[in-house]
Amino acid sequence: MKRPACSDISDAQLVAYADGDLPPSEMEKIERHMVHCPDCGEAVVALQRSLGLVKTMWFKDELQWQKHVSRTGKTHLGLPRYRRFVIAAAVFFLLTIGSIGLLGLQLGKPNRQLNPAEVELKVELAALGSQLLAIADLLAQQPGGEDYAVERYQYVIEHYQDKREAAQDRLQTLLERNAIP
Amino acid sequence: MSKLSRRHTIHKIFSNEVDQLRRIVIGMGLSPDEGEDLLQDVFQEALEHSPQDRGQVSLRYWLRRVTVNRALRHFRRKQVHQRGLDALQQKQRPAIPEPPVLAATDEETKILRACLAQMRESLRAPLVLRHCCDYNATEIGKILDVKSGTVRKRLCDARVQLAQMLTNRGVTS
Repeated sequence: MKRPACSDISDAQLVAYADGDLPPSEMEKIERHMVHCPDCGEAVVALQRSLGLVKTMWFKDELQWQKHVSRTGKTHLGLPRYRRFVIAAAVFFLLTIGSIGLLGLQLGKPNRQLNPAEVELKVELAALGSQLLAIADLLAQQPGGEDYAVERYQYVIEHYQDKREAAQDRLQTLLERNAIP
Repeated sequence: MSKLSRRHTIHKIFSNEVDQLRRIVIGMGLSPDEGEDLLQDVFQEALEHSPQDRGQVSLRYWLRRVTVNRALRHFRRKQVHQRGLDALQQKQRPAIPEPPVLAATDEETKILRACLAQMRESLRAPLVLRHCCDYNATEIGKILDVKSGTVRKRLCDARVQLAQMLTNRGVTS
């Protein structure tokens, strides 16, 4: 890309033209100039092609990286260290989905006396709240698991009325324990 | 802000930013393995040393700046190491001729990487941030801590230099 004899158009103008970043009047001016200046024409082609090539290369590299990450499972957060928490989170997720589904079934029905099966279901749901609280306690005791525990306590506070107070107390304790002095 | 909520905030910002940070690292010419290690270090540094008195926007720029600087530093080390290896190979055995025929795209990619590696860091960083990560001149200025006018000038110089180098090697013609 050499423009030895050309001083009418600056490099900056030519780059802006190659990228289509100029107003129409400026574009026309450069186009008129290029009619009798082949050096500038070649320079524009070189600018456009070089950027196209480098962008294609970056795009391919990005795809390759994505494949690499999906193949090795290696990510920036160093997840293997948190594997046990991921498993706990998965269990929690399944339990949550199940409880929401069961609650949805209950809400859809009119208010009436509960039959033995429904009483059993209610007991199970109450037990589920306790289990979630226990999981959160477990996570809170693990180094590095505090973030997960906070999320679970908040969930229990939000969705399980009978466990709300207990969860609030424990969340408070956890936050105080980890606060910056 | 408690330690926990701060960690949570940094984790959230980092997760939102990670694609862009990855593009920065790719643009600087690091391999996926090196890049993931580098991003892990950036994340760790953010947890330990990120400025505490700033908001989320500043923290984003801080993350991008740290990533650019670390990537440039890593690339510099890699180049020094590669030069050392090349010198060692030259001493140990006679020069092996390059394979005569390479697929055009492989050959072009090889030349592109070499040209980007030769480019000055002050030009390479804005080029990567603009055309690989799509930041504008003002954002790049904030990341690199220079004025946006300087960024525009460097971007123009980088483009001209890249086109010049590729033309000299017969790639753009």
